Amino acid sequence: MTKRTRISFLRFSGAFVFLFWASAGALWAQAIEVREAIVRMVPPGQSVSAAFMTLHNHDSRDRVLVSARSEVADSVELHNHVMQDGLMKMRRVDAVTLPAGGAVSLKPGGLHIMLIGLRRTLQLGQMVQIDLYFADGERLTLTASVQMPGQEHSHSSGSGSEG
Amino acid sequence: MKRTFEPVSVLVMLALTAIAVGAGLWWHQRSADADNPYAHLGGDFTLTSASGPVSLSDFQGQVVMLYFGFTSCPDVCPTDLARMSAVMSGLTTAEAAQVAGVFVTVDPERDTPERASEYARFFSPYIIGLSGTPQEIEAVARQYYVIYNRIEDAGSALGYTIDHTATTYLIDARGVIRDRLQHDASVDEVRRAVRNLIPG
Repeated sequence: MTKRTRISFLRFSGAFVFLFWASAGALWAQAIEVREAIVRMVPPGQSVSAAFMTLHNHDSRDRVLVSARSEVADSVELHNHVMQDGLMKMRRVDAVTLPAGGAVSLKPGGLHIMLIGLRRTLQLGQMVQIDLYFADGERLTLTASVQMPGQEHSHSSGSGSEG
Repeated sequence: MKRTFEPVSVLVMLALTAIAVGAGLWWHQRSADADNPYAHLGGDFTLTSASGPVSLSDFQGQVVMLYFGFTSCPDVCPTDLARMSAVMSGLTTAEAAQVAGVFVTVDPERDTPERASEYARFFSPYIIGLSGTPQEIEAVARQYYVIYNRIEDAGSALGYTIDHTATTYLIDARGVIRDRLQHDASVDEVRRAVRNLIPG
């Protein structure tokens, strides 16, 4: 093989590997899609809020959400609501499973991400970053927009994807 | 011959008429209350707002939407108070003048009158927030059959949460509970129920 051929071959291989890595990465990044992510606006001085969103799992395997973090709060926890004996009971949950090819909705009255110990006053329309951590070690970063309670279906809300 | 009535007979007749009417009205009221499934609940109470004591009877003449919750509640209470606010903003000015919202905290340990007040105001200037001593809150909760349980959770940064009946009570202009709406009732349903009770 001539030197020129070898260089071309190397360049081609490099490009091929790069393209493969890029597309594999892109496919992977689309695995979990976040839609309509919002954080609830709370009165000034209130230290607890909640984030809601829909998580679509385009992966061919189940993904398990186990924890979360956010720059806006000291602690972030996963909570669920259960109506039992006429009482609304809110309980911390350790994990939320996103079934393969399915979606899970975190919405008022149900599952939600609780932001405990807000570090700053939330402003309407502001974007808040939340990182979701999965059992397999993957992390997903999303941005949620601050909305008034009762406005959960407004159009301007955040989004995110795995990275 | 001119026929006249003796003054005594007239007085006796008037007295009998008054008694008959009075008895009739009393009976009517009793059966009306018997038709009200909430007749045994509720009643007047006095708790503390950010600007002093407030009694339910202060709202005589107005329809009151009464809700028991706590300010650290991230989901259920904001949803129900936002709904209360939406109900009020959908009323005409004349209607709104005859409706009031009251939020009573079941977490007096964390929710001072100031905090309850600020929380209520966040949702609407027409909702007043009330607190009190744990005994006072317990007494009112009992009157209204409100159940609330403090659940310690050392595993959560919250420390504790409160399970509670997420009911909105509708109280008429006389101070009588006439309706109870649950967490899943829509804004329209609640507003319709409120309109039903507005006098006139």
